Amino acid sequence: MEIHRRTMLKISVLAALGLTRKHSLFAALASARPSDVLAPGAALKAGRWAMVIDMKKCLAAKDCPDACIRACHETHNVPDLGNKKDEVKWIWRESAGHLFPGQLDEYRGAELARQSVPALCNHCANPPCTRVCPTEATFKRADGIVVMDPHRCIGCRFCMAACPYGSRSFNWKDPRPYLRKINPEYPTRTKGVVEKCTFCSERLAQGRPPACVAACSYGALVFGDLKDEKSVVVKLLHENYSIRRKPELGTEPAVYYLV
Amino acid sequence: MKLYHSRYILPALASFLVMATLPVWRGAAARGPGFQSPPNPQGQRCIEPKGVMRAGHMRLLMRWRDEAVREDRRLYIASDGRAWEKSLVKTCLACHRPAGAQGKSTTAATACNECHEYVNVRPDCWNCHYDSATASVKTMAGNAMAHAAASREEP
Repeated sequence: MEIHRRTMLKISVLAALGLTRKHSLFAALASARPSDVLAPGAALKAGRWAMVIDMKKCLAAKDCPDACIRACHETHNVPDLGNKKDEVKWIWRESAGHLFPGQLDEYRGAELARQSVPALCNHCANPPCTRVCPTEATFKRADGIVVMDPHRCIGCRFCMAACPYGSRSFNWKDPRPYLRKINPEYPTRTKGVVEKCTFCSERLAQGRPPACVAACSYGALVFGDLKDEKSVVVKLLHENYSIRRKPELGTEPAVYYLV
Repeated sequence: MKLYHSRYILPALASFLVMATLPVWRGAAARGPGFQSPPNPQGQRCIEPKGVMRAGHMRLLMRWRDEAVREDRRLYIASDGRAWEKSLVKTCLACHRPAGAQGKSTTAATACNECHEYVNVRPDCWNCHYDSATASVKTMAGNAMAHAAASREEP
C-alpha cells in the first residue's frame, strides 16, 4: 500500500501526541482523584451559613476593644488608609440608626439608634451584587456565602453600586503600604479590585469558625447553619426577636440582629 | 558539477551564514541569568514530575485557583497519590524558597522572576499573594512613609 504524504503527516502527528500524552500535565491531571476538602471531615459545611449578632450582649460590653474588627482585618490583610474616602472595610461599627432605617421607633428605638454595632456583608439569599457582576467575580456559593474571586475582578464597581448595605470596598491604591502587619497565609489585594467579607470561607475549609466570631469574648457573634434545626443560630432565632437590615428590599440577609 | 564564481560565492555564503546566525552567537556570548530551575534547597520531590511542572505549572496553578476559590475544593491529589493544599504560598513556596539570604534574590517570588524574566513573561501573582522574606521589610518602611505622608497631607 502506498502511503500518501497527507496520511503520513496524520500518522506522525498522532504518534507525537501519543508520546507526549504520557508525560503531559493532561495525563497527570486526568489521573488525579477528585478532591474535596482540606482534611477530610475537618471542613465546616452547612446548608446555609448565617450569623446572629446579639445586640444586647454587644452593647453591654462597654469597654469592647473591637476585637472582631481587629481580628478580621488582621487575618485578611485589610489596610487602614486613614481616610473615609479610600476606606477598605470587611466588618465595621455602624450606628443602629443607620443600619435599620425605619425599623426603630422614636422612643426606646431612638436610644438604640445612637449606639453602634458591627456591620458586615449580609451574604444575602438574593444578592444584588452577584447579579450585576459582569465577570462573575462575585458569586453565591451553594452554602449561601457570597464570595469574591479577585482574580476575575475587573474593578468596574457595579457590585458596589448594587449593594444596598455598603459592604463592599474598592482598592483605589495598592493596599500593601497601608498594612501594619501582613498575614502571609492570606493574600493582600491589589489596586483596582473590590473586596468584602467572605464569612471566612478559607477558615471554614480548615474547620475553624470566622475570625470575628472566634475573637469576640462576649459571645455576641454566633455563627451557624440555618438549615440545621439543631444549630445554635436557629435556636437563638426561635427564642429571640430578630431584625435584619433593609428587609423591604427582599435580599434576605443571612446576618440577623437580636434586639 | 562545477560551481562557477566559487571565489565570490563561497565567502559570501559563509558571511551570510555568520550574519544570519549572529543573534544566536551573541546570545550565547552574553552572560545572562539564563534558564534556572526554581530553588529547592531541601531537595524535595515536586508535586508532579519535573517535566510536567516545567511545562504546565501555570495551567496547574490556574486549575488550583479556580477549584479552591470558586468550588471550595482545596485539596490536590497528585498523580502519585500524595495530597497537597492548593496554595501558592503555603505549598509551592514551602520548598521553592532560596536557602539563605545571598544577594538580592532572597524571596521565592524573585527566584520565580529570574526564569520569568528570561522567557519574558510577567505573571502578576505577587501583587496579591504574599512572599514574606523581604517584602515585610519593604512594607514596614512603606507603611512608615505612607503614615508620614498622610499626616503631612492633613491640615
